[in-house]
Amino acid sequence: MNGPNSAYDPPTLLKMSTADLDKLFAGAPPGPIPNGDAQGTALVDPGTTKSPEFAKIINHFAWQGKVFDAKNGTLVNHIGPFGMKAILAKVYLGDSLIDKKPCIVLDYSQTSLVAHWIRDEIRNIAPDTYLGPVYWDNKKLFYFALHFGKARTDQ
Amino acid sequence: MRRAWIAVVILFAACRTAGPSADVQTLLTMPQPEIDKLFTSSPPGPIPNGRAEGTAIVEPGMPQSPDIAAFIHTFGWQGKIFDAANGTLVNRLGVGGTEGILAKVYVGKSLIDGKDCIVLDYSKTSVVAHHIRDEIRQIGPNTYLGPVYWDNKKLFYFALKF
Repeated sequence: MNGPNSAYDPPTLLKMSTADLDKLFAGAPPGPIPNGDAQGTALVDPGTTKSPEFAKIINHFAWQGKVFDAKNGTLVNHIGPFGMKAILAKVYLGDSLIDKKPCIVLDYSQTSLVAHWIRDEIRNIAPDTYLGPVYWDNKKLFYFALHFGKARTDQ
Repeated sequence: MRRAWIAVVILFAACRTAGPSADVQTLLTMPQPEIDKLFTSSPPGPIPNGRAEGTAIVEPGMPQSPDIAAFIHTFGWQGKIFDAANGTLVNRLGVGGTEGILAKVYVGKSLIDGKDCIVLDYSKTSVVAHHIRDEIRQIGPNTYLGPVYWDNKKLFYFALKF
């Protein structure tokens, strides 16, 4: 564990309520399109005692993070129990479905057969730290966080 | 090759449109205390056999719970396949529904109320899932409901439809 190299490390975000996360996302700039490998944290039922375990179970079995290629404007996800790289998305600046202001859009609609109902949006909430919603058919499901480089807590 | 691709497309279209059955759909709309009550008042039922469609009941009673269930069904977990004669099961996991993560299946006491339930025990059979324990009880014909635990802490309920 690296300690809190980000003001919003995963344990801090997991303690915040959905209303707090809404506010944090709404108040953040899009930031630069990130590059490289990111630790992913799903913020399901945030602010409850269960949210850290939800994050663990999702990390274990379903999703560990994303790898960005800023130059090509693409990313892949680390998925499954073995962290296989799959499910490609296009990455570009666009307007958030929440407040119509700029964010970084992770768009699966043209690139993935299984995930084309999914849209992610992220904004830069601290150095090397991004937060945003996951949508299914344009309906917001839950927030997730991405931690890059020194902001990671999993290495 | 082309035929295989068409099969894949049809399969995913089916996953997308089929969704949980009506009674399981109702569970997603129930507030958490009602789901707790349904579990505690149900009998364990017989140890099931065969293939079950799984539905994760996360944040029940909230508007997003059916979509979270659909999301989990597509990317994480589709259901379980029981072998009642051997007292085992495997899960259907990931985007392709790969069969993996074995559990032992037996009648035991629920961590919730100390009464009988069917325990799905991963502690001896799975390196990746040994933190997990599932419990189920029969809530209707071919339908089971129960909690998922991580290190004996209850996380959420799930339903199985055979």
